[in-house]
Amino acid sequence: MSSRPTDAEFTDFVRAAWPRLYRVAWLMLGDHGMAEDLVQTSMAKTYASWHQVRHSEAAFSYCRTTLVNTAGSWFRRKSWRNELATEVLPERGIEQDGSTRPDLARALAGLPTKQRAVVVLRFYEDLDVNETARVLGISPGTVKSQTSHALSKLRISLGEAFVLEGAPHD
Amino acid sequence: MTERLRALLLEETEALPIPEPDVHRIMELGRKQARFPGRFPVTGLAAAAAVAAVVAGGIALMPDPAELTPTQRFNAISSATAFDEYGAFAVGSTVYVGNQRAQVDGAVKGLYYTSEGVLAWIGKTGDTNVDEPGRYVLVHPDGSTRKIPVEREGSYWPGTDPGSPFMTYAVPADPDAKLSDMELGEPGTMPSRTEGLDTIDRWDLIAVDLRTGKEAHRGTVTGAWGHGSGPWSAPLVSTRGTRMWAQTEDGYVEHDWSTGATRTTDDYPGDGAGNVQAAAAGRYVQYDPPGGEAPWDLVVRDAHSNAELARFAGTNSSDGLLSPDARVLRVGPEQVGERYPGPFRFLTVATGKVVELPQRAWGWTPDGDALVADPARDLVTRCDTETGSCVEIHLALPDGDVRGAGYVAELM
Repeated sequence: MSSRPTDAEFTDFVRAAWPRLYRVAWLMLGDHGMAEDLVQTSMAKTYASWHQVRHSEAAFSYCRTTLVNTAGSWFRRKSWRNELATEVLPERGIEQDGSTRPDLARALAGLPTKQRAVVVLRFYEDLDVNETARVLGISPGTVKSQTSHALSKLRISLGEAFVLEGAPHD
Repeated sequence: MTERLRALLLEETEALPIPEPDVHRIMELGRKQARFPGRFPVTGLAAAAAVAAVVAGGIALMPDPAELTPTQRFNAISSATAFDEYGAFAVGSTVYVGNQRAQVDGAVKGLYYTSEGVLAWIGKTGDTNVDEPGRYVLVHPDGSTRKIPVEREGSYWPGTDPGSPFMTYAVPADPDAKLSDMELGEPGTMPSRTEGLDTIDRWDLIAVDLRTGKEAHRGTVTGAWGHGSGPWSAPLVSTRGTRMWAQTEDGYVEHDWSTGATRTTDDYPGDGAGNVQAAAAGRYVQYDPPGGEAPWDLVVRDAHSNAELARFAGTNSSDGLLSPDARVLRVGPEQVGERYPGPFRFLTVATGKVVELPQRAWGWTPDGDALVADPARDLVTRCDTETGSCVEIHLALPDGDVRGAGYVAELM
Protein backbone atom coordinates (compact mmCIF):
# COMPACT_ATOMS: atom_id res chain seq x y z
CA MET A 1 0.00 0.00 0.00
CA SER A 2 1.37 3.38 -0.89
CA SER A 3 1.90 5.87 1.87
CA ARG A 4 -0.39 8.79 2.47
CA PRO A 5 0.08 11.73 0.10
CA THR A 6 2.37 14.38 1.40
CA ASP A 7 2.12 18.14 1.67
CA ALA A 8 4.46 18.34 -1.29
CA GLU A 9 2.01 16.31 -3.32
CA PHE A 10 -0.80 18.58 -2.17
CA THR A 11 1.24 21.58 -3.30
CA ASP A 12 1.65 19.96 -6.71
CA PHE A 13 -2.08 19.30 -6.80
CA VAL A 14 -2.89 22.93 -5.98
CA ARG A 15 -0.57 24.31 -8.64
CA ALA A 16 -1.92 21.92 -11.26
CA ALA A 17 -5.62 22.26 -10.47
CA TRP A 18 -5.79 25.93 -9.49
CA PRO A 19 -6.09 27.51 -12.99
CA ARG A 20 -8.84 25.18 -14.16
CA LEU A 21 -10.83 25.45 -10.94
CA TYR A 22 -10.35 29.21 -10.89
CA ARG A 23 -11.87 29.45 -14.37
CA VAL A 24 -14.81 27.30 -13.28
CA ALA A 25 -15.31 29.49 -10.21
CA TRP A 26 -15.09 32.69 -12.25
CA LEU A 27 -17.66 31.45 -14.74
CA MET A 28 -20.00 30.59 -11.88
CA LEU A 29 -19.49 33.79 -9.90
CA GLY A 30 -18.39 36.41 -12.43
CA ASP A 31 -16.14 38.04 -9.87
CA HIS A 32 -12.37 37.64 -9.48
CA GLY A 33 -12.20 38.09 -5.72
CA MET A 34 -15.05 35.73 -4.98
CA ALA A 35 -13.71 33.19 -7.46
CA GLU A 36 -10.35 33.20 -5.69
CA ASP A 37 -12.05 32.83 -2.31
CA LEU A 38 -14.16 29.97 -3.60
CA VAL A 39 -11.25 27.99 -5.01
CA GLN A 40 -9.17 28.66 -1.92
CA THR A 41 -11.99 27.48 0.35
CA SER A 42 -12.59 24.37 -1.74
CA MET A 43 -8.91 23.49 -1.75
CA ALA A 44 -8.69 24.02 2.01
CA LYS A 45 -11.58 21.61 2.47
CA THR A 46 -9.79 19.17 0.22
CA TYR A 47 -6.61 19.53 2.26
CA ALA A 48 -8.61 18.83 5.42
CA SER A 49 -9.41 15.42 3.93
CA TRP A 50 -6.06 14.98 2.21
CA HIS A 51 -4.95 12.14 4.46
CA GLN A 52 -7.71 10.01 2.96
CA VAL A 53 -6.49 10.45 -0.60
CA ARG A 54 -5.14 7.31 -2.16
CA HIS A 55 -5.42 8.39 -5.74
CA SER A 56 -4.46 11.86 -6.90
CA GLU A 57 -6.99 11.95 -9.73
CA ALA A 58 -9.76 11.70 -7.16
CA ALA A 59 -8.62 14.92 -5.59
CA PHE A 60 -9.66 17.03 -8.56
CA SER A 61 -13.11 15.47 -8.70
CA TYR A 62 -13.52 15.88 -4.95
CA CYS A 63 -12.33 19.48 -5.03
CA ARG A 64 -14.59 20.39 -7.97
CA THR A 65 -17.62 18.86 -6.23
CA THR A 66 -16.71 20.72 -3.06
CA LEU A 67 -16.37 23.93 -5.08
CA VAL A 68 -19.81 23.50 -6.61
CA ASN A 69 -21.38 22.66 -3.24
CA THR A 70 -19.70 25.62 -1.59
CA ALA A 71 -20.81 27.94 -4.38
CA GLY A 72 -24.34 26.63 -3.95
CA SER A 73 -24.18 27.44 -0.28
CA TRP A 74 -22.93 30.95 -1.06
CA PHE A 75 -25.65 31.46 -3.65
CA ARG A 76 -28.32 30.52 -1.16
CA ARG A 77 -27.04 33.01 1.36
CA LYS A 78 -26.75 35.78 -1.17
CA SER A 79 -29.72 34.93 -3.36
CA TRP A 80 -32.11 37.23 -1.58
CA ARG A 81 -29.79 40.17 -2.11
CA ASN A 82 -29.09 39.26 -5.70
CA GLU A 83 -32.79 39.40 -6.41
CA LEU A 84 -32.71 43.09 -5.69
CA ALA A 85 -29.31 44.04 -7.05
CA THR A 86 -30.28 44.24 -10.68
CA GLU A 87 -28.96 47.64 -11.65
CA VAL A 88 -25.29 47.02 -10.97
CA LEU A 89 -23.77 43.95 -12.53
CA PRO A 90 -20.92 42.12 -10.83
CA GLU A 91 -17.38 43.16 -11.54
CA ARG A 92 -16.34 42.18 -15.02
CA GLY A 93 -13.21 40.13 -15.18
CA ILE A 94 -12.38 40.88 -18.77
CA GLU A 95 -11.91 44.24 -20.35
CA GLN A 96 -14.33 45.06 -23.13
CA ASP A 97 -12.32 44.69 -26.30
CA GLY A 98 -14.65 46.56 -28.61
CA SER A 99 -15.23 43.46 -30.70
CA THR A 100 -18.59 42.05 -31.63
CA ARG A 101 -17.92 39.07 -29.40
CA PRO A 102 -21.03 38.33 -27.34
CA ASP A 103 -20.92 39.35 -23.67
CA LEU A 104 -20.81 35.86 -22.22
CA ALA A 105 -20.14 36.89 -18.63
CA ARG A 106 -23.16 39.16 -18.62
CA ALA A 107 -25.29 36.44 -20.18
CA LEU A 108 -24.17 33.91 -17.55
CA ALA A 109 -24.82 36.40 -14.76
CA GLY A 110 -28.40 36.61 -15.99
CA LEU A 111 -29.01 32.91 -15.38
CA PRO A 112 -30.33 31.51 -12.09
CA THR A 113 -27.51 29.97 -10.12
CA LYS A 114 -28.39 26.34 -10.72
CA GLN A 115 -28.71 26.90 -14.46
CA ARG A 116 -25.36 28.69 -14.46
CA ALA A 117 -23.76 25.74 -12.69
CA VAL A 118 -25.28 23.31 -15.18
CA VAL A 119 -23.98 25.33 -18.13
CA VAL A 120 -20.49 25.57 -16.69
CA LEU A 121 -20.26 21.88 -15.83
CA ARG A 122 -21.76 20.63 -19.06
CA PHE A 123 -20.31 23.00 -21.60
CA TYR A 124 -17.07 24.13 -19.96
CA GLU A 125 -16.15 21.09 -17.92
CA ASP A 126 -17.70 18.90 -20.62
CA LEU A 127 -19.48 16.61 -18.18
CA ASP A 128 -22.38 14.53 -19.43
CA VAL A 129 -25.85 14.67 -17.92
CA ASN A 130 -25.24 11.92 -15.37
CA GLU A 131 -21.90 13.32 -14.24
CA THR A 132 -23.40 16.79 -13.90
CA ALA A 133 -26.30 15.38 -11.91
CA ARG A 134 -23.90 13.58 -9.58
CA VAL A 135 -21.78 16.66 -8.97
CA LEU A 136 -24.81 18.89 -8.33
CA GLY A 137 -26.69 16.28 -6.33
CA ILE A 138 -29.76 16.54 -8.54
CA SER A 139 -31.51 14.14 -10.89
CA PRO A 140 -30.49 13.74 -14.54
CA GLY A 141 -33.97 14.91 -15.50
CA THR A 142 -33.43 18.14 -13.59
CA VAL A 143 -30.09 18.62 -15.33
CA LYS A 144 -31.82 18.27 -18.69
CA SER A 145 -34.61 20.67 -17.82
CA GLN A 146 -32.19 23.19 -16.32
CA THR A 147 -30.03 22.91 -19.42
CA SER A 148 -33.01 23.52 -21.64
CA HIS A 149 -34.10 26.58 -19.66
CA ALA A 150 -30.56 27.94 -19.59
CA LEU A 151 -30.04 27.52 -23.32
CA SER A 152 -33.35 29.25 -24.02
CA LYS A 153 -32.21 32.25 -22.02
CA LEU A 154 -28.73 32.25 -23.52
CA ARG A 155 -30.28 32.06 -26.97
CA ILE A 156 -32.01 35.34 -26.21
CA SER A 157 -29.07 37.07 -24.55
CA LEU A 158 -26.33 35.80 -26.85
CA GLY A 159 -28.26 35.42 -30.04
CA GLU A 160 -29.46 32.43 -31.97
CA ALA A 161 -26.16 31.98 -33.77
CA PHE A 162 -24.30 31.17 -30.60
CA VAL A 163 -26.59 28.63 -28.99
CA LEU A 164 -28.42 26.42 -31.37
CA GLU A 165 -30.84 23.64 -30.60
CA GLY A 166 -29.73 20.34 -29.16
CA ALA A 167 -27.10 19.80 -26.53
CA PRO A 168 -24.49 17.26 -27.55
CA HIS A 169 -24.81 15.28 -24.32
CA ASP A 170 -28.59 14.84 -24.33
CA MET B 1 -25.36 22.11 -31.56
CA THR B 2 -23.73 23.79 -28.61
CA GLU B 3 -20.10 23.57 -29.68
CA ARG B 4 -20.19 27.32 -30.24
CA LEU B 5 -21.18 27.87 -26.61
CA ARG B 6 -18.34 25.67 -25.43
CA ALA B 7 -15.96 27.54 -27.68
CA LEU B 8 -17.17 30.83 -26.25
CA LEU B 9 -16.66 29.61 -22.70
CA LEU B 10 -13.14 28.44 -23.46
CA GLU B 11 -12.36 31.64 -25.33
CA GLU B 12 -13.69 33.78 -22.48
CA THR B 13 -11.58 32.03 -19.86
CA GLU B 14 -8.49 31.75 -22.01
CA ALA B 15 -7.70 35.42 -21.52
CA LEU B 16 -8.59 35.37 -17.85
CA PRO B 17 -5.79 36.60 -15.57
CA ILE B 18 -5.20 33.79 -13.07
CA PRO B 19 -3.92 34.80 -9.63
CA GLU B 20 -1.22 32.73 -8.00
CA PRO B 21 -2.52 30.32 -5.36
CA ASP B 22 -1.35 30.88 -1.80
CA VAL B 23 -0.61 27.26 -0.97
CA HIS B 24 0.56 28.07 2.54
CA ARG B 25 -2.69 29.89 3.28
CA ILE B 26 -4.76 27.08 1.79
CA MET B 27 -3.01 24.49 3.96
CA GLU B 28 -3.40 26.69 7.02
CA LEU B 29 -7.15 26.98 6.36
CA GLY B 30 -7.32 23.26 5.74
CA ARG B 31 -5.63 22.47 9.05
CA LYS B 32 -8.06 24.77 10.84
CA GLN B 33 -10.93 23.00 9.13
CA ALA B 34 -9.58 19.64 10.22
CA ARG B 35 -9.29 20.78 13.84
CA PHE B 36 -13.05 21.31 14.06
CA PRO B 37 -14.56 18.15 12.70
CA GLY B 38 -18.24 17.43 13.27
CA ARG B 39 -18.80 16.62 16.91
CA PHE B 40 -21.60 14.21 16.21
CA PRO B 41 -20.50 10.61 16.22
CA VAL B 42 -21.08 8.90 12.91
CA THR B 43 -23.75 6.34 13.63
CA GLY B 44 -23.22 2.62 13.05
CA LEU B 45 -24.18 2.10 9.43
CA ALA B 46 -22.74 5.39 8.30
CA ALA B 47 -19.47 4.72 10.11
CA ALA B 48 -19.15 1.32 8.53
CA ALA B 49 -19.85 2.75 5.10
CA ALA B 50 -17.27 5.47 5.57
CA VAL B 51 -14.59 3.00 6.62
CA ALA B 52 -15.44 0.74 3.72
CA ALA B 53 -15.15 3.63 1.32
CA VAL B 54 -11.61 4.29 2.46
CA VAL B 55 -10.19 0.79 2.54
CA ALA B 56 -12.09 -1.29 0.00
CA GLY B 57 -10.00 -2.50 -2.89
CA GLY B 58 -6.82 -0.94 -1.71
CA ILE B 59 -7.17 1.97 -4.07
CA ALA B 60 -10.22 3.50 -2.44
CA LEU B 61 -10.42 7.21 -2.74
CA MET B 62 -11.44 9.74 -0.24
CA PRO B 63 -15.22 9.81 -0.42
CA ASP B 64 -16.60 12.01 -3.14
CA PRO B 65 -19.23 14.24 -1.49
CA ALA B 66 -21.67 13.38 -4.25
CA GLU B 67 -21.44 9.69 -3.36
CA LEU B 68 -21.99 10.00 0.38
CA THR B 69 -25.30 9.29 2.04
CA PRO B 70 -26.96 12.45 3.39
CA THR B 71 -25.91 11.50 6.93
CA GLN B 72 -22.31 10.82 5.92
CA ARG B 73 -22.17 14.07 4.04
CA PHE B 74 -23.76 15.94 6.97
CA ASN B 75 -20.99 14.67 9.22
CA ALA B 76 -18.26 15.36 6.67
CA ILE B 77 -19.03 18.92 5.61
CA SER B 78 -17.65 21.94 7.40
CA SER B 79 -19.58 23.43 10.29
CA ALA B 80 -20.20 26.61 8.29
CA THR B 81 -21.64 24.71 5.35
CA ALA B 82 -23.70 22.53 7.68
CA PHE B 83 -25.16 25.64 9.30
CA ASP B 84 -25.98 27.15 5.90
CA GLU B 85 -27.72 24.00 4.78
CA TYR B 86 -29.28 22.61 7.96
CA GLY B 87 -29.67 25.67 10.15
CA ALA B 88 -30.57 25.06 13.75
CA PHE B 89 -33.09 23.67 16.18
CA ALA B 90 -33.16 23.00 19.90
CA VAL B 91 -34.17 20.05 22.03
CA GLY B 92 -34.61 21.18 25.61
CA SER B 93 -31.56 23.25 26.41
CA THR B 94 -29.37 21.78 23.66
CA VAL B 95 -29.02 23.91 20.55
CA TYR B 96 -28.16 21.95 17.41
CA VAL B 97 -26.46 24.26 14.94
CA GLY B 98 -25.47 22.66 11.64
CA ASN B 99 -23.44 19.60 12.58
CA GLN B 100 -22.40 21.06 15.95
CA ARG B 101 -24.25 21.52 19.20
CA ALA B 102 -24.12 23.70 22.29
CA GLN B 103 -25.63 23.54 25.73
CA VAL B 104 -27.35 26.67 27.03
CA ASP B 105 -28.32 27.55 30.57
CA GLY B 106 -32.11 27.52 30.48
CA ALA B 107 -35.06 26.69 28.25
CA VAL B 108 -34.91 27.87 24.66
CA LYS B 109 -37.82 30.16 23.82
CA GLY B 110 -36.76 30.91 20.28
CA LEU B 111 -33.92 30.71 17.78
CA TYR B 112 -33.21 33.51 15.32
CA TYR B 113 -30.83 33.43 12.38
CA THR B 114 -28.04 35.95 11.96
CA SER B 115 -24.90 36.05 9.83
CA GLU B 116 -22.90 35.15 12.96
CA GLY B 117 -24.90 32.07 13.85
CA VAL B 118 -28.19 31.48 15.61
CA LEU B 119 -29.36 33.73 18.43
CA ALA B 120 -31.03 31.78 21.24
CA TRP B 121 -33.63 33.50 23.44
CA ILE B 122 -33.49 31.75 26.78
CA GLY B 123 -35.66 31.82 29.88
CA LYS B 124 -36.84 29.65 32.73
CA THR B 125 -39.62 28.36 30.52
CA GLY B 126 -39.81 27.92 26.77
CA ASP B 127 -43.06 29.91 26.60
CA THR B 128 -42.61 33.16 24.66
CA ASN B 129 -45.64 34.78 26.24
CA VAL B 130 -44.48 34.43 29.84
CA ASP B 131 -43.26 37.66 31.44
CA GLU B 132 -39.92 36.62 32.85
CA PRO B 133 -36.32 37.71 32.50
CA GLY B 134 -35.05 36.67 29.09
CA ARG B 135 -31.42 36.26 28.07
CA TYR B 136 -29.75 35.90 24.72
CA VAL B 137 -26.88 33.65 23.68
CA LEU B 138 -25.31 33.59 20.23
CA VAL B 139 -24.39 30.09 19.07
CA HIS B 140 -21.79 30.20 16.31
CA PRO B 141 -21.78 27.62 13.51
CA ASP B 142 -18.77 25.91 15.15
CA GLY B 143 -20.78 25.37 18.35
CA SER B 144 -19.05 28.03 20.41
CA THR B 145 -21.28 30.45 22.31
CA ARG B 146 -21.28 34.11 23.27
CA LYS B 147 -23.53 35.69 25.85
CA ILE B 148 -25.19 38.84 24.55
CA PRO B 149 -25.49 41.36 27.39
CA VAL B 150 -29.15 42.16 26.80
CA GLU B 151 -31.51 41.13 29.55
CA ARG B 152 -35.16 42.05 29.29
CA GLU B 153 -38.18 41.26 31.36
CA GLY B 154 -41.30 40.67 29.33
CA SER B 155 -42.19 39.15 26.02
CA TYR B 156 -39.86 40.43 23.33
CA TRP B 157 -39.14 38.75 20.03
CA PRO B 158 -35.86 40.04 18.63
CA GLY B 159 -35.69 41.09 14.99
CA THR B 160 -32.83 39.54 13.03
CA ASP B 161 -31.77 38.93 9.44
CA PRO B 162 -29.81 35.81 8.38
CA GLY B 163 -27.53 38.08 6.36
CA SER B 164 -26.83 40.58 9.13
CA PRO B 165 -24.90 40.50 12.42
CA PHE B 166 -27.42 42.68 14.27
CA MET B 167 -30.17 41.95 16.78
CA THR B 168 -32.88 44.62 16.90
CA TYR B 169 -35.63 45.43 19.36
CA ALA B 170 -37.68 48.31 20.79
CA VAL B 171 -37.75 49.87 24.25
CA PRO B 172 -39.70 52.91 25.51
CA ALA B 173 -37.81 56.11 24.64
CA ASP B 174 -38.60 57.38 28.12
CA PRO B 175 -36.90 54.90 30.46
CA ASP B 176 -39.46 55.69 33.17
CA ALA B 177 -42.44 54.97 30.94
CA LYS B 178 -44.16 51.77 31.90
CA LEU B 179 -47.31 50.12 30.68
CA SER B 180 -49.77 49.51 33.48
CA ASP B 181 -50.42 45.97 34.60
CA MET B 182 -53.89 44.64 34.05
CA GLU B 183 -55.75 43.32 37.08
CA LEU B 184 -58.87 41.30 36.51
CA GLY B 185 -61.79 42.12 38.78
CA GLU B 186 -64.96 40.21 39.40
CA PRO B 187 -66.51 38.45 36.44
CA GLY B 188 -68.52 40.88 34.38
CA THR B 189 -66.53 43.92 35.44
CA MET B 190 -63.90 45.75 33.43
CA PRO B 191 -60.30 44.98 34.29
CA SER B 192 -58.60 47.64 36.36
CA ARG B 193 -55.13 48.95 35.74
CA THR B 194 -52.32 49.57 38.12
CA GLU B 195 -50.31 52.76 37.93
CA GLY B 196 -48.84 53.26 34.49
CA LEU B 197 -49.74 54.07 30.92
CA ASP B 198 -52.24 52.54 28.55
CA THR B 199 -50.02 53.23 25.58
CA ILE B 200 -46.49 54.46 25.00
CA ASP B 201 -45.99 56.72 21.99
CA ARG B 202 -42.24 57.02 21.58
CA TRP B 203 -39.89 54.10 21.19
CA ASP B 204 -36.19 53.62 20.78
CA LEU B 205 -35.26 51.10 18.12
CA ILE B 206 -31.98 49.47 19.07
CA ALA B 207 -29.49 47.47 17.03
CA VAL B 208 -26.96 45.36 18.94
CA ASP B 209 -23.89 44.20 17.03
CA LEU B 210 -23.61 40.50 17.89
CA ARG B 211 -19.93 40.50 16.94
CA THR B 212 -19.17 42.78 19.87
CA GLY B 213 -22.27 42.43 22.03
CA LYS B 214 -22.51 46.21 22.10
CA GLU B 215 -25.30 48.55 21.13
CA ALA B 216 -24.48 49.85 17.67
CA HIS B 217 -27.39 52.17 17.10
CA ARG B 218 -30.39 53.67 18.84
CA GLY B 219 -33.00 55.76 17.04
CA THR B 220 -36.23 57.22 18.39
CA VAL B 221 -39.48 56.75 16.48
CA THR B 222 -43.06 57.77 17.15
CA GLY B 223 -45.93 55.29 17.18
CA ALA B 224 -48.40 54.10 19.79
CA TRP B 225 -48.15 50.66 21.34
CA GLY B 226 -49.81 49.40 24.48
CA HIS B 227 -52.78 47.54 25.83
CA GLY B 228 -54.66 45.87 23.02
CA SER B 229 -51.85 46.27 20.51
CA GLY B 230 -50.65 42.72 20.94
CA PRO B 231 -49.40 40.23 23.46
CA TRP B 232 -45.87 41.63 23.43
CA SER B 233 -44.28 44.17 25.70
CA ALA B 234 -43.12 46.43 22.87
CA PRO B 235 -43.64 46.81 19.13
CA LEU B 236 -42.19 43.97 17.12
CA VAL B 237 -39.15 44.91 15.10
CA SER B 238 -37.86 43.38 11.91
CA THR B 239 -34.63 44.33 10.17
CA ARG B 240 -32.66 44.08 7.00
CA GLY B 241 -29.34 45.77 6.30
CA THR B 242 -29.38 49.10 8.11
CA ARG B 243 -33.15 49.40 8.20
CA MET B 244 -35.49 48.52 11.04
CA TRP B 245 -39.27 48.36 10.90
CA ALA B 246 -41.56 48.53 13.93
CA GLN B 247 -45.24 47.70 13.93
CA THR B 248 -47.21 50.32 15.89
CA GLU B 249 -50.85 51.31 16.14
CA ASP B 250 -50.06 54.34 14.00
CA GLY B 251 -48.47 52.50 11.13
CA TYR B 252 -45.41 50.65 10.11
CA VAL B 253 -42.41 52.76 11.13
CA GLU B 254 -39.17 52.49 9.16
CA HIS B 255 -35.89 53.74 10.56
CA ASP B 256 -32.60 53.64 8.66
CA TRP B 257 -29.69 53.92 11.02
CA SER B 258 -27.20 54.71 8.27
CA THR B 259 -29.02 57.95 7.45
CA GLY B 260 -31.17 58.52 10.54
CA ALA B 261 -34.20 58.78 8.25
CA THR B 262 -37.52 57.74 9.77
CA ARG B 263 -40.89 57.48 8.12
CA THR B 264 -44.24 55.96 8.93
CA THR B 265 -45.64 53.77 6.23
CA ASP B 266 -49.35 54.27 6.16
CA ASP B 267 -49.84 54.37 2.42
CA TYR B 268 -49.96 50.67 1.71
CA PRO B 269 -53.24 49.17 0.62
CA GLY B 270 -55.33 48.13 3.54
CA ASP B 271 -56.71 49.35 6.77
CA GLY B 272 -53.53 50.40 8.49
CA ALA B 273 -50.86 48.56 10.32
CA GLY B 274 -53.27 45.95 11.67
CA ASN B 275 -53.47 44.54 8.18
CA VAL B 276 -49.86 43.33 8.37
CA GLN B 277 -49.67 39.66 9.25
CA ALA B 278 -45.94 38.98 9.59
CA ALA B 279 -42.66 40.66 8.72
CA ALA B 280 -39.10 39.57 8.15
CA ALA B 281 -35.94 40.76 6.45
CA GLY B 282 -37.47 43.73 4.67
CA ARG B 283 -40.73 42.13 3.60
CA TYR B 284 -44.15 41.78 5.12
CA VAL B 285 -47.34 39.79 4.54
CA GLN B 286 -50.80 41.28 4.51
CA TYR B 287 -54.35 40.16 3.82
CA ASP B 288 -56.15 41.29 0.70
CA PRO B 289 -58.86 42.44 0.94
CA PRO B 290 -58.07 43.97 4.31
CA GLY B 291 -60.51 43.17 7.06
CA GLY B 292 -62.51 40.96 4.74
CA GLU B 293 -63.70 37.43 5.20
CA ALA B 294 -62.15 34.29 3.79
CA PRO B 295 -61.24 33.43 1.18
CA TRP B 296 -58.64 36.15 0.94
CA ASP B 297 -55.25 36.56 -0.69
CA LEU B 298 -51.98 36.68 1.23
CA VAL B 299 -49.72 39.28 -0.36
CA VAL B 300 -45.96 39.64 0.20
CA ARG B 301 -44.71 43.22 -0.10
CA ASP B 302 -41.39 44.99 0.08
CA ALA B 303 -41.33 46.84 3.40
CA HIS B 304 -39.47 49.85 1.96
CA SER B 305 -41.33 50.38 -1.30
CA ASN B 306 -44.55 48.50 -0.46
CA ALA B 307 -44.37 46.97 -3.92
CA GLU B 308 -46.22 43.68 -4.28
CA LEU B 309 -43.74 40.83 -4.71
CA ALA B 310 -45.96 37.74 -4.59
CA ARG B 311 -49.55 36.71 -3.97
CA PHE B 312 -51.09 33.49 -2.61
CA ALA B 313 -54.64 33.73 -3.88
CA GLY B 314 -57.88 32.44 -2.44
CA THR B 315 -57.10 30.86 0.90
CA ASN B 316 -58.99 30.69 4.16
CA SER B 317 -55.78 30.19 6.08
CA SER B 318 -54.75 33.02 8.35
CA ASP B 319 -51.40 31.36 8.89
CA GLY B 320 -49.09 33.23 6.54
CA LEU B 321 -45.52 33.21 7.75
CA LEU B 322 -42.31 34.38 6.10
CA SER B 323 -39.06 32.47 6.17
CA PRO B 324 -36.33 34.28 8.12
CA ASP B 325 -34.80 35.59 4.89
CA ALA B 326 -38.28 36.40 3.54
CA ARG B 327 -37.55 34.31 0.45
CA VAL B 328 -40.49 31.98 1.11
CA LEU B 329 -44.07 32.44 2.33
CA ARG B 330 -45.48 29.50 4.27
CA VAL B 331 -49.27 29.22 4.17
CA GLY B 332 -50.97 27.01 6.73
CA PRO B 333 -53.52 24.30 5.93
CA GLU B 334 -56.98 25.25 4.72
CA GLN B 335 -59.76 25.07 7.28
CA VAL B 336 -62.41 22.45 6.53
CA GLY B 337 -65.17 22.72 9.11
CA GLU B 338 -63.37 22.66 12.42
CA ARG B 339 -60.36 20.85 11.07
CA TYR B 340 -57.22 21.72 9.16
CA PRO B 341 -56.46 18.50 7.29
CA GLY B 342 -54.35 19.65 4.37
CA PRO B 343 -50.68 20.30 3.74
CA PHE B 344 -48.56 23.36 4.31
CA ARG B 345 -47.92 25.38 1.16
CA PHE B 346 -44.57 27.06 0.53
CA LEU B 347 -44.55 29.87 -2.01
CA THR B 348 -41.19 31.03 -3.37
CA VAL B 349 -41.53 34.79 -3.59
CA ALA B 350 -39.19 35.23 -6.56
CA THR B 351 -40.99 32.75 -8.80
CA GLY B 352 -44.48 32.36 -7.36
CA LYS B 353 -44.00 28.59 -7.41
CA VAL B 354 -45.86 26.70 -4.67
CA VAL B 355 -44.68 23.44 -3.12
CA GLU B 356 -46.73 21.37 -0.67
CA LEU B 357 -45.29 19.61 2.36
CA PRO B 358 -47.16 17.51 4.91
CA GLN B 359 -48.15 18.94 8.26
CA ARG B 360 -45.20 18.82 10.62
CA ALA B 361 -43.66 21.24 13.11
CA TRP B 362 -41.52 22.81 10.40
CA GLY B 363 -38.83 25.25 11.39
CA TRP B 364 -36.60 26.99 8.90
CA THR B 365 -33.06 26.89 7.65
CA PRO B 366 -31.42 30.34 7.27
CA ASP B 367 -32.19 30.37 3.55
CA GLY B 368 -35.84 29.39 3.71
CA ASP B 369 -35.90 25.61 3.47
CA ALA B 370 -38.07 23.63 5.88
CA LEU B 371 -36.45 21.71 8.75
CA VAL B 372 -37.91 19.44 11.39
CA ALA B 373 -36.31 17.29 14.09
CA ASP B 374 -37.93 14.12 15.44
CA PRO B 375 -36.29 12.85 18.66
CA ALA B 376 -38.53 9.77 18.67
CA ARG B 377 -36.95 8.58 15.43
CA ASP B 378 -33.53 10.26 15.83
CA LEU B 379 -34.18 11.91 12.53
CA VAL B 380 -33.75 15.40 11.09
CA THR B 381 -35.58 16.16 7.85
CA ARG B 382 -34.81 19.10 5.59
CA CYS B 383 -37.01 19.83 2.59
CA ASP B 384 -36.24 22.14 -0.29
CA THR B 385 -39.15 24.58 -0.40
CA GLU B 386 -38.60 25.24 -4.11
CA THR B 387 -38.70 21.61 -5.25
CA GLY B 388 -40.26 19.68 -2.38
CA SER B 389 -37.35 17.23 -2.32
CA CYS B 390 -36.27 16.14 1.15
CA VAL B 391 -33.21 14.62 2.81
CA GLU B 392 -33.13 12.77 6.12
CA ILE B 393 -30.22 12.85 8.57
CA HIS B 394 -29.88 10.21 11.23
CA LEU B 395 -28.86 11.93 14.43
CA ALA B 396 -29.06 10.74 18.02
CA LEU B 397 -31.34 13.21 19.79
CA PRO B 398 -32.33 13.43 23.45
CA ASP B 399 -35.94 13.47 24.54
CA GLY B 400 -37.37 16.90 25.09
CA ASP B 401 -39.34 19.74 23.60
CA VAL B 402 -38.20 20.59 20.09
CA ARG B 403 -37.93 24.22 19.12
CA GLY B 404 -37.55 25.10 15.44
CA ALA B 405 -35.54 28.11 14.32
CA GLY B 406 -36.24 31.15 12.24
CA TYR B 407 -39.81 31.86 13.22
CA VAL B 408 -40.56 35.50 12.72
CA ALA B 409 -43.15 36.99 14.98
CA GLU B 410 -46.65 37.12 13.62
CA LEU B 411 -48.06 40.53 14.16
CA MET B 412 -51.71 39.62 14.60
